[in-house]
Amino acid sequence: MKAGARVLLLPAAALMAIFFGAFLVFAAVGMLSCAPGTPGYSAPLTLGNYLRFFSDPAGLRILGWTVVFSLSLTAATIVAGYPFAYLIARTRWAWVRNLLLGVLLVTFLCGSISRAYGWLILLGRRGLVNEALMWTGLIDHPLALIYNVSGVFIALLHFTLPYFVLTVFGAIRAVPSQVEESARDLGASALRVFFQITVPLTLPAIVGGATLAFSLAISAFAFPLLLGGGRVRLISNYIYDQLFVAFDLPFAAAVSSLFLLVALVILWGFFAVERWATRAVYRRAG
Amino acid sequence: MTLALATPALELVGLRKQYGEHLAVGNVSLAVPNGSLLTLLGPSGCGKSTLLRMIAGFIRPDSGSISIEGRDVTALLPEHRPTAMVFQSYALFPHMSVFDNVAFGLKLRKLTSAQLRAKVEATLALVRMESFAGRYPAELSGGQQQRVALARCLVIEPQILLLDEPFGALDRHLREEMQVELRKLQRQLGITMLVVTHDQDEAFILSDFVAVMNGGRIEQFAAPADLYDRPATCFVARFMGIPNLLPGAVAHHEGKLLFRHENGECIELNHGGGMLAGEPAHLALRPETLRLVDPVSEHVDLVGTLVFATLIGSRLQYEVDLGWATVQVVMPRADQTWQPGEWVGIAIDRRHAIVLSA
Repeated sequence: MKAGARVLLLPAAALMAIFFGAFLVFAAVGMLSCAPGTPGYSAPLTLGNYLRFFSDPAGLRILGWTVVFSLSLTAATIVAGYPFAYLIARTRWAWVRNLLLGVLLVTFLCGSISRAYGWLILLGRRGLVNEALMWTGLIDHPLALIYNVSGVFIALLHFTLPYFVLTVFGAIRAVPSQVEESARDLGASALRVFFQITVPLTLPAIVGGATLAFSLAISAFAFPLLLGGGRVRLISNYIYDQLFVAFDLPFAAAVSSLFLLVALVILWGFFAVERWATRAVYRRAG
Repeated sequence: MTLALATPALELVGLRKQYGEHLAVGNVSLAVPNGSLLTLLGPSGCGKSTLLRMIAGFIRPDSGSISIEGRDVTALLPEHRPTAMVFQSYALFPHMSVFDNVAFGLKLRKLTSAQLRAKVEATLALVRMESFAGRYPAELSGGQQQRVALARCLVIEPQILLLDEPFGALDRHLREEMQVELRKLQRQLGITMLVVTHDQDEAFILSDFVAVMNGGRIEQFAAPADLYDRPATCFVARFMGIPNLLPGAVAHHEGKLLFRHENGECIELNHGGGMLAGEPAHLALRPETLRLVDPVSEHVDLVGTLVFATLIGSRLQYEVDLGWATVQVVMPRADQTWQPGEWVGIAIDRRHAIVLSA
């Protein structure tokens, strides 16, 4: 890149610097100490807060659990979202496509809190889901679907799904139907065409959508708070507690910084996979 | 020849497909002899691609049946039919190398990896693409992509090879080269092929038989030469590039067969296409079989005013206004030149005059 061109990047770089500056403030505050008896903090600089987190098994367990939970949720989003996206992309009827896209878009109109309360009603002991399952005779007693992991998982899946589906749907539409047809024509079953042609050709979009879903899942706060019943705590809830229960601002900042670092490393992994997939699929194309 | 007695490679009986009000394919029946190349020729929207996709199994017919080598395949899915199709867009798998593209259909069969490799390489050699096995579709030219698409189909040894506008995306020079190459390959392998095209010249270069389609129906099924010499309908005549279709009726007079044109005058004919007297008809005249003559000579069949003359290479194309119709005449440039505005006569070569039902 020429020097002149670099100058043109300056405004964008300045804008980004504001956002990254905020993160640096976090990292810096994490190096201060809590002033006992007050919500404030003071010098001297210390790495004590960071070291404290690493020596706290409970905190580490929550961080590890958050990562595992988010990765499982991402996997579930792919498994549930891809067929959904495929249906929207390949349906013969325009009204089916429009209806399903409409349903997806409507979910964006609704905030997390009201959505979480909605799930409380739907998944509760006497909620619609349990009533329906009891009525069909599949279960004798209501399932515990809220105030535990399953409730948080269901609600978060519903939250990440539209992002994934909308990302992947366009990519599926971009695969020419003739390419799928020619595979059928050469003797491959519909299932084989799906796994050997459609899925590989949309792999970059799948990884892209999964990256989005993972970012949303790992930073989830309201759903575990409201639907977890205090039993499901993700790292954001842990940080929140340090801040508003223990009033330990420097420690909360330190954990936030560490959490950001972990999230970035995992996201970097996602991006690496996406780059690899894009190269493998569109090798030297164009 | 036992050709007519043998089971046809492909037999269609009463195929029909309707989309709402639009009849895409209406009651099509035909039989394709083993080892021959049939072209479905017609303008866009005539139903030829729909017919091809029905044979491949992508479209389910409303009624009728499709048999391949005597076996009814109407109810079979595309993957279970012994057909392979070369798509107009080639539809190569962009994430697979040339080798893997060709190997795709073979991998579904139980072959050792050595057998598979040998078959793929032999087929790539057949289409002269053996040195491109490691490349990806995006790295190939249009003509090369087409060879790969062809190899991908040939390697699974289909009983019928279907080609949908196979040369439509190629430039003219390459198109002509590939047409000849496909024809040689077809002769060499003896494989039955069905080609969809809208290009009359292409149909003539490639085919043993041509089925001209219009409005979802087959207008005429014939060998290319017959189609050229004896079009069966006005549509086919026009599609075969005969611009002169004079309206009139067939008449008989004192044992002679006559064509009475709209002006009331009669032209004596050699044959009348089996038509009854009084039936409305068209007289199809190729411009090359007509001659401009002195309007008062004894050979004159039609008279009119020469309105236009265009030079096309070694020949001149004349446009003559008869008052009730316009006629094109093409003659060598060396012959007597006529000037626009002149009153001229036209002589018809009776061997090439064709009477068609209106």
